Amino acid sequence: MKSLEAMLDWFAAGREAVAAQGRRELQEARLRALPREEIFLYVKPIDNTRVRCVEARQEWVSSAAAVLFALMSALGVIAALAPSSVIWLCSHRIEELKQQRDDLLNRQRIVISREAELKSPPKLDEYSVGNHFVPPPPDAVVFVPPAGAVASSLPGR
Amino acid sequence: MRVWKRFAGVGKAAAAGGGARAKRPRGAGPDAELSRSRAQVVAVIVAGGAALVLMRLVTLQVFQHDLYTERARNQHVRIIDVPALRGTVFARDGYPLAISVRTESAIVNPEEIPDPDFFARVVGPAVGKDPGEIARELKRRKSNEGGSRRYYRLARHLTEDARKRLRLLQRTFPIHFVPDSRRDYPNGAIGAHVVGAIDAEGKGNAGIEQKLNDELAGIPGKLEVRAGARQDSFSSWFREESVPGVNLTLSVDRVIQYDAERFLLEGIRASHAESGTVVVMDPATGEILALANYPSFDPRREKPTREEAAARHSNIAVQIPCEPGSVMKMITVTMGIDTGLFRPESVIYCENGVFPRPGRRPIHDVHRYGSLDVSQVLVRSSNIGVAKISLAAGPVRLYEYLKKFGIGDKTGIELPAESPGILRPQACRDSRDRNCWTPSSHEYIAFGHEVSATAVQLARAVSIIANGGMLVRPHLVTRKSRPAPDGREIPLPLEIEPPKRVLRAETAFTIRRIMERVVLEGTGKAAAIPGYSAGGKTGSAQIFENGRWLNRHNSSFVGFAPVTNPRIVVVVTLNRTPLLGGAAAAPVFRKVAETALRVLHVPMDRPETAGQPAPEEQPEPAPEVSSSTVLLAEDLTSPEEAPAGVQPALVGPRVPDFRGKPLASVLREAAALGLPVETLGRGLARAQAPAPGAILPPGVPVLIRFGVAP
Repeated sequence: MKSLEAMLDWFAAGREAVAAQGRRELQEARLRALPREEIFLYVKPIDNTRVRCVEARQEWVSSAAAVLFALMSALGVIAALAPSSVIWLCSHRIEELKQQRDDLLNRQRIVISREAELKSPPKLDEYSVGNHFVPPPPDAVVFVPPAGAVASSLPGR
Repeated sequence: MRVWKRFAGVGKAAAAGGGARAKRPRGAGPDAELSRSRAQVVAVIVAGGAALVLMRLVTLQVFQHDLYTERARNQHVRIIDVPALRGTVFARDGYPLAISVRTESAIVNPEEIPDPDFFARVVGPAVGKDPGEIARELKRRKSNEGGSRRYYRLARHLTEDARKRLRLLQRTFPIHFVPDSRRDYPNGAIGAHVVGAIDAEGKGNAGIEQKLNDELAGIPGKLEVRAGARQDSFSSWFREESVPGVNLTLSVDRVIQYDAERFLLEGIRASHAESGTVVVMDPATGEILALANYPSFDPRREKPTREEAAARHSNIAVQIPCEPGSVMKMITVTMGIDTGLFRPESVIYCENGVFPRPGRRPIHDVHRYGSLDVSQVLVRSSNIGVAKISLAAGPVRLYEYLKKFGIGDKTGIELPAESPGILRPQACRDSRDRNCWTPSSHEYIAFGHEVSATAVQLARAVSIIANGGMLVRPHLVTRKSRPAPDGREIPLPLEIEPPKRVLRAETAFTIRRIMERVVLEGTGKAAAIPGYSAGGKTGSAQIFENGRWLNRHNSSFVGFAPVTNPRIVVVVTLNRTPLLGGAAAAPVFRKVAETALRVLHVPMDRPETAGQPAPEEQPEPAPEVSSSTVLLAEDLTSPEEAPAGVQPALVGPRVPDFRGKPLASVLREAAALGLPVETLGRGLARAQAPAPGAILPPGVPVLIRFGVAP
């Protein structure tokens, strides 16, 4: 070995020789029979040792452009559909809330009606008669009940 | 086909002879000519047909486009009115008198039910109906014996429980739910004639519900329904949203209304009357606080009895006028004092009970009175006294004052079919006119005959006295608002006619004092309210029927309380009772007025004693005078025609001593006595003319000078 360069060439040649041997083996096509079948497969190994990865810049750009285009298209579709979808969902929700509000207002009306019925003069009259509430006679002195007391809890009823 | 074959044959023949006539130019020869001519005929026919089709197409598509579009639309598009929620009617305390709530009704298509008996047995208990009735109805409709074949309302206004049960059954049976609404009247029959009721179609048929139906009903929404060839709808949407009805707040107080109805019923039973009415009104504003009628009805009842249906359309207080009787004397006496012809102290000879009228029926009094002053004429309710006042004033003035008090004119209250009452025109159009006053009409109208008025009209007339001379419009609605979608209330403008002065305040105050004496010492003693001063007038009009006078009266009492500042006017009328107004209607007035004053928190102005309160100032009784010294009223046909030099003797009040009193006291005292005064200066009164104790001539004011010069 005269130089390092020569040594490296020697190593490279060795490796080339091993690779060439492998290629030769690989190029040998073989017939292989499937077990218990009268079918023979022609088998040939594929040699991809010479395959080189080559950077194709143009292809990469076109791929990126395709991806970008797909992305933009998707965004466009979403942008086109999203407002109407949101509006549809919102209007659905609004209608639902309106319905709820109407129901609640209706319930409120029923409650108001019931309250008015319970506090109607005939009912109060009935209640007062049932509890023996009587108006004070003329010139009677009526004492104000103590704070927190109600008429029905006063003594002497 | 035959033509085709013939053409085919021609073609074959032409092909067969083609060799022989090979040298002949193509399309030449008789066969070709025949073929061409036939083809042309066919082409013309086809073209003609196509032209006809085209013409028809143009006619349909262009010229009759609108017609057929409309027809198609009518077949496929239906516009359904969706009723708006009816407005709520509130009482003055904010509680509803009538309110609508949304409900659901269950309906079925009888043709979709194969076994009505089974259906009825399962569904009947769920809706609380008799299964037998449901089955019968379904079978009747299925066999086309009555009712709609495709519609049967299973139950209306479903309760929450019934709806849940039917929802479960809906998986098995073809039960459908449709929206509905129910009108609730939480107070029951209270205020039925004011609030009214609605019919099965949801339209008002009485009271406010009828009169203001358009406002209460709102504007229905429009639902557009697209239907297929079989009229089965596949899509629907609202073209126009419904606008809810207007909410009304009434001036009616529920407690006063309830008590008015209660006491009216008691009064009717006690006096054996057939019908009656009570109206309670605020004289200052014209707000109706209560309006009760008997007989009444229950607005909640969907299928009223015959009596209730009749009562529903008979609002006595507004629709049925009756002779007011002596109540009318209030207007006649007011006229006498307001015109200056009479004063409260003016003495009128009352003919000892019988006032002979040459060529006419004599006028009688119930009691024999000699001479009464004007105030006593009203207090004692003397027919002869008021007839003489009317004679003195003349028919034109009486008619003018009746009109001022609103007799014969509708009040404009918001209730349906209001009657204007009966007041014939005073002036006749010609000699054949029978619908006008006779020469003696004003004598009888003066005490309430030949004239009719409704209870509301009487309430308005009394209000003029109570509020100091202002004519108010009785009304029920005090507020209008429209509910916004967010639940808020948007107030709507409400036009209320402002009061109009028709009477001098002094006159009104004077009449008020006289009417107080009616309650204290006159015919209306039963109307005295413990703890409050009250004024009023009784009225009893005997009923003339089938050519004879019956022992039945339209008894009434009109009054106000308290006298110093009246807060309420109450009119009570009991029809066809054997009792007179003082015995029948006055006690009802007392009870109703007492309740109303208590509810309105009006402070008492008298000691609250069970007995009759004593009057503040007992005026001296009018001196008895002989008939020779009293100028008879019939001699004064009208003031314009009074003979010169003849003064109405003894018809002047004595002037009190105003000296030393402040201006306010002088004015108050003068108003109480009905004296016109002219003041000069301010401070304390120093001098007056005429002198104290002198008789004031008619039309002459008392001139009072005060200490401080103006």
